[in-house]
Amino acid sequence: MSENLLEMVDIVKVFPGVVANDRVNFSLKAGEIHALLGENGAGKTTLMNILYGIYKMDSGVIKVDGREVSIRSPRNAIKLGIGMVHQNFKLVPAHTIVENVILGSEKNGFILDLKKSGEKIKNLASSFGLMVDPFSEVWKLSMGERQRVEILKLLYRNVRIMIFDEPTAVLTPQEKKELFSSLREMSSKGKSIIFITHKLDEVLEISDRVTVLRRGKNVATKVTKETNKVELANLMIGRPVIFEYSRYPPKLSGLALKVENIRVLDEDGNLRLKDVSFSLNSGEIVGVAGIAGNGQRELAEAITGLRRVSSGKIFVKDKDLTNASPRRFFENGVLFIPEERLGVGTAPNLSVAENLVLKSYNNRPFCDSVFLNFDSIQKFAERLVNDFEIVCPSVKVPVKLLSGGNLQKVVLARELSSLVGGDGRVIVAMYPTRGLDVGATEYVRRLLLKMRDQGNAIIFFSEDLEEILSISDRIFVMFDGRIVGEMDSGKADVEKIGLMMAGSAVS
Amino acid sequence: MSFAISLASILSAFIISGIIFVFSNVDPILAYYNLFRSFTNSALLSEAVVRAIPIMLVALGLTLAYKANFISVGGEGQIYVGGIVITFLVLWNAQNRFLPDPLFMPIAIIFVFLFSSVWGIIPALLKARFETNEVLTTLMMNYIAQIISNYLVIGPWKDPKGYGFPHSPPFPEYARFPLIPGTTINSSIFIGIFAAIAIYVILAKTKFGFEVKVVGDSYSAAKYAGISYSKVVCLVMAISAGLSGLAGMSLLSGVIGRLRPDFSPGYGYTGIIVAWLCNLNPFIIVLGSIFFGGLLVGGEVLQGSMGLSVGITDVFQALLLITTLSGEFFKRYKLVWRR
Repeated sequence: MSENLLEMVDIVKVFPGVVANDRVNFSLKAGEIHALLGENGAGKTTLMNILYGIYKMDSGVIKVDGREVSIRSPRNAIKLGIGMVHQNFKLVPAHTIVENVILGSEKNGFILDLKKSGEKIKNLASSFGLMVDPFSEVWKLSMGERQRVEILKLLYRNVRIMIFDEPTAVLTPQEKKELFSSLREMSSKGKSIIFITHKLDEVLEISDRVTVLRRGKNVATKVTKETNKVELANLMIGRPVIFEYSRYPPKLSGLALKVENIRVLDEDGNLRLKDVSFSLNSGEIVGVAGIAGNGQRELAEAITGLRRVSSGKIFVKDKDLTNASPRRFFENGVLFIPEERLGVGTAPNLSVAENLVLKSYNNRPFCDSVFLNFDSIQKFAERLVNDFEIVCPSVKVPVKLLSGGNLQKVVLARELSSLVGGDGRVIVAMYPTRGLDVGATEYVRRLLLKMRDQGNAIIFFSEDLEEILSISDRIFVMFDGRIVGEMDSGKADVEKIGLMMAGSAVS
Repeated sequence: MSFAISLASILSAFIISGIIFVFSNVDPILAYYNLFRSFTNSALLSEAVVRAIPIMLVALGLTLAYKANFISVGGEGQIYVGGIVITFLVLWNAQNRFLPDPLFMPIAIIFVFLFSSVWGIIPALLKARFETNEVLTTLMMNYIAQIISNYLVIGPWKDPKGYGFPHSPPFPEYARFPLIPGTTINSSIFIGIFAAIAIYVILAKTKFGFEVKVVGDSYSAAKYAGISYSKVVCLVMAISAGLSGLAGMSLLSGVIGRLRPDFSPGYGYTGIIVAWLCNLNPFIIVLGSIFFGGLLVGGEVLQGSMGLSVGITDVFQALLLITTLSGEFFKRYKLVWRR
């Protein structure tokens, strides 16, 4: 009999092309708050989805109370006393809190006694410091209150192990404080809590122990009191091995892109870019470090015309293109390599050739005023397939059949060979090597460097510090919608970057 | 493999409706013989082609919309709009004589197309601006158009010499599509064939067709490529609704000869089935429409000769759609049996 309430041993989960969990070990004691720390893509959520029965692991053992269990579905998990509060709440907005809480609970008979359940929920809520009115409708609630409803759902089902997937992401600072005091209350009453996060301050504030994941492997488990921010940042980000690319110092030739105090809202009206300003010169390559979700996507979309800015200005070579259309940005030489290669960067069911002219089909020689010229499109596509070493059976196959690396080459080929814009272009690349194998990664990096040497300005976003340190001339660090740090890559300090990425500004 | 699955789909539709025949105390073999008699008899075949014309026009229009992933079910309403417009032109011209007779039909075709287009652009604009669900808006607009048409024919446009029957005055000869000699087929079939070629050319050869395919394949990729979603969807629905409007005109000027209440027996919906069954291929749609026209005629033969309800054709059509759509699933996925 072990003292651990929960043990996960040698958990392996493979997704096509990536090992999300590589023999991960994790244990949880009764009544503890255990933080699971790691960058996006480190495998935290995958591990917890396995525990909650959403994913099936490929190998490994899960023990609850020392007994081996098999968890095939969330219902299974809840029976074992394991529950999860997801990042995106799963509530029915038109229903009241009571109705949401009892929904799917097996304790209900045919006839619902909402009043009795309401009483019970009220008692539960007040004993854990989760103040809510059980009979108000969910759509009227703030995000913090909705989260409490999710927690109540778990308490109502007598869950012992509660998983929180980045619970503070949607909360105001005040709500965060209240959440933390409820978490302490619950742990003092014997509930065990797993707290997924990538924020160091939260780990130090709330957890008893912390397990750090990096690229699908667990690198350490520490007692929180015995560690500190710098150590955790190093564990989380790792000591990158920097490849040396033989390169000349940048030959700067004038301003290519200037961004002044832009602010950008997301679909829900939240401010995702808060006063970002920077400038980019022709002939340099700037790497933007940061954990995903800190405004990188919004920044990239704003400077390519895909997202409106609510204030501020964007200039491309002295030309004011603030809130111009994507096509105007493209015509002014702003090229974009988006994050999703399939579905944004390419139309999946269209052929390789069609995707290679996705932006230039409108220009001669690919068309006249009405009709497309298939001969010239075909020739152009075949030339690009040859030049960019794209491996495909023919330019007529749907692009979705290509591998990730070849798909990325299609996007790069189209953008970099575009017939418009002339020299001195601005290339915006989101995660250009994510998910690619070593060969393709190498190819993409060298191509970006070559473009730099030809006098283009490049800004690329990456979660991979190794990549940023090895190919950029300057480095920006983004956190919480701001550029919080800027440095020359020669003087870059990995530790400092890591801390900035995790939200601890170092002065 | 894919051909075998298509064949199996059609076969299972036959088997399932065969079971229904058996339960209706009808010999299924004889029933099928009657159902498909139009394909062995030239008079019935000619009748099948007549029914096929409006189905064809609607299905061709829908094909363009579906290629842009705009799931319109508005063909039926657009048929009524086309009917309203042609009847208006006929009545107006009867009073004012603003057109010489030979010019009436060509001009009428243009007007019917344009006004139906405006009707079709409404749901496209709603979707582009407010992200309303086009299935709901186009469906609801069907009822609006049908009810307006019925109101007009019972009210202001009722034939004063019609003994109180709810229909408009008969269309004069110059407002009718002439018949192809020796058949019952009217000349609006040529509009259908022209439309099939036009839709094929648009989709396969033009810049606009390319934009339609990109929008239909991925909204985000289209936005990223700088293609205007609202422009593409509005133009697509203008053409789609224009063709359905011509279907309405073809019914009134080609077959019925006047506006009647509920004059379309659901051709707008049959068009949806034909478009999907024919895999959104314009030329196959021409053939598929004739096949479905034959089924409609066959249903009437069944009713006459065997006392079965005409509804049996609807049942057969619906089964065919269900089995074909299920077949699509098997074309895309492979079943793996596991213990």
